[in-house]
Amino acid sequence: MIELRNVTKLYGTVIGVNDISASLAPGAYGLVGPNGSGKTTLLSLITGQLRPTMGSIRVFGEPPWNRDALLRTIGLCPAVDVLFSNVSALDWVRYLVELHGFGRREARRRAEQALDQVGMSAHMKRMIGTYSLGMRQRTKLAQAFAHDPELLILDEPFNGLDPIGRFQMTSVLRAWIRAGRSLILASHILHEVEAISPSFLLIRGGRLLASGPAEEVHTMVDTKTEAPVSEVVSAIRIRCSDPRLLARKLVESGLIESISFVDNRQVVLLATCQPNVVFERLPHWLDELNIRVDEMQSPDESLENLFSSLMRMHRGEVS
Amino acid sequence: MLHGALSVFRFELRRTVTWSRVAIWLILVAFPIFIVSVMKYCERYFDPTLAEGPSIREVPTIRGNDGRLTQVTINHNGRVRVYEQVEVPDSNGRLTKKKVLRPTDPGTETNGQSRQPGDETPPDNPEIAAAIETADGEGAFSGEPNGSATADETSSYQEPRYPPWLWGGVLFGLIPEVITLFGLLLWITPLVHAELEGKTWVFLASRPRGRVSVLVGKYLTGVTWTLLAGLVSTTVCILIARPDDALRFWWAIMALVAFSCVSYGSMYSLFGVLFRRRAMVIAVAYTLIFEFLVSFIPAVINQLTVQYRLRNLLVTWLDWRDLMPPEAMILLGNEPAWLQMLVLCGVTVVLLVAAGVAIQRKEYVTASDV
Repeated sequence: MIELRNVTKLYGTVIGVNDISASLAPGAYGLVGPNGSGKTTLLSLITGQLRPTMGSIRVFGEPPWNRDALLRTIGLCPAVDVLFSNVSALDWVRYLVELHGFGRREARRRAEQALDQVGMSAHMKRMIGTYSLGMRQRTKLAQAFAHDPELLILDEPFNGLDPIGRFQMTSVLRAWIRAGRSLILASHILHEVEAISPSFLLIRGGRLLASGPAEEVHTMVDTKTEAPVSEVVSAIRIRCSDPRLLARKLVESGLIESISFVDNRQVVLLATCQPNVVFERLPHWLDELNIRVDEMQSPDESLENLFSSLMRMHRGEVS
Repeated sequence: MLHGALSVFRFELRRTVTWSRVAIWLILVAFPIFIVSVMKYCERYFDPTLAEGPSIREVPTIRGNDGRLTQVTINHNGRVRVYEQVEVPDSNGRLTKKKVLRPTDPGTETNGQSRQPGDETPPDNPEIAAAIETADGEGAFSGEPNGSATADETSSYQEPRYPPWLWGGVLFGLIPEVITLFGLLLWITPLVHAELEGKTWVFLASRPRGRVSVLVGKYLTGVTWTLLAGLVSTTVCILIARPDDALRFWWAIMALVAFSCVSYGSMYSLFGVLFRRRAMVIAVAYTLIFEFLVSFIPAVINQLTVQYRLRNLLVTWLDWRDLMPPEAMILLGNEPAWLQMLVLCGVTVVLLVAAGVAIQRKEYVTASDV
């Protein structure tokens, strides 16, 4: 599906991506890396927004730069926020579908269908300026797949989503993969990607550090006596209406490594090796216990640890 | 591509109807109207002897009881002027009749008096009364005028009106030049910059022919907004100015607005595509230096400007070639109007194609990419 051969992109003297080579067959991939690692640049190169300074890229057998026919097969959901405040989601998505060559009626039908799939049908005629961040994210996702592409490329799609929004987004993307379509999901949160995609591309400083299924990355790190992906501990911070009750439930679940209360006992701070399972079950527990979440953060230091290990390997510091 | 461009055009037209844009549009429309209104108000003070053309009206000469020959003119503002025929010696010493503005007669209604339309009160001055009765017919007043006077003969009188070339020059300078250029600068030049700043570029550029569709769609939107401003402004200005042959004037100015919009619009589109950051500054500099300075250089180089073509079309369409002084003809060409229009259309197509090629090939790097 995608062939990257020694792809380098320079912005003047700044390196965007550095000598990346990879071959991706049709399927679902997670592009994981910290902020500023070159994920967006790589996606821009794949979608033909940028031209590689060196190396070559082929997507579905063609170089993507200036290939309009290729753009019909790609759906892109960029990380940037939608800033049209005086346009409704329906009008905006319909407009973008029209640009794929669909007639006005067909574009409207597809826009309505896509917005319905992301749970926006009740609000799609409201102005985008009145939407929450999560609603804007869902609208962005709708415009990416409304024209029925073969490959969906998502850049940080979970930004700003609450637990329920994340759950819904995850469900939509899993359904997309189950339908046999291809997906590239870029994120700086490891467990977000793990929840959806079985394969990773780990990128940092513009370099591809590791790629392949989670098990392969796991084995690779494990053999170098570093912490494997599945054993990396993730920290989650939850400010809610009843921290004690939530803590009891978390302990009973057996999914956590440690738990503590901080910030005048208003915040639960937990550490887990299975953040995906926790995030999947959390909405049900909150609903069951009638607990309101005010704030939830996942600093994801685990990813930093993992990347530090991979960088050391890359530099040859770990034998 | 056309389908995409029309989609962008429809979307942009709807999206850009905002208070701020409507306010700018109204300012653009109102600016020439204000200038023309002020000029029209001052027209009554214009020296009619400077005017040329068909603003001459036949008025009766009145012989008063004292035997003096006077002429009373009432202009369209109701302003009354009394002229007296005097005999003055010419350069050969022969006496010739000359019309002079009569000084104010103490206690009587005379020079400088204004009358409201429909005013039936007889004026004190019998000469004025006779002039009005001659113009409006018997029984123009509710009562008998004081004294009596008779219409003796008629002679020509020039109303205080600007010459038509002055109105043409002002309207050309204000509408196809100033407001069209401002409108296009505001709405077409930032066509790429606005999308990049609004972070919406990536959504459009990831569509097939999305870049070219944005270019053509936004070009059409900018031209439509500006053309509408030009249409409203031209119509209102001509209604206020009321030049002779107003319909022809309207057509000429509107056609110039249209040509100005499409040709300058394509030029600013190219600037917008090539210069992402300071496109507007560069476009203003180009317009001032090339279109306003170079176009007035009496050399072949001025033929490379849009301004030269528009100026020639104005002079041709309003039949001013015979009125122009010979020195002004250096700045004008002798090409026929169809050739000027063909050149403008050609320039528009070439610049739009160049902008299309550039937008398709240019990389637009955003802050989020780096």
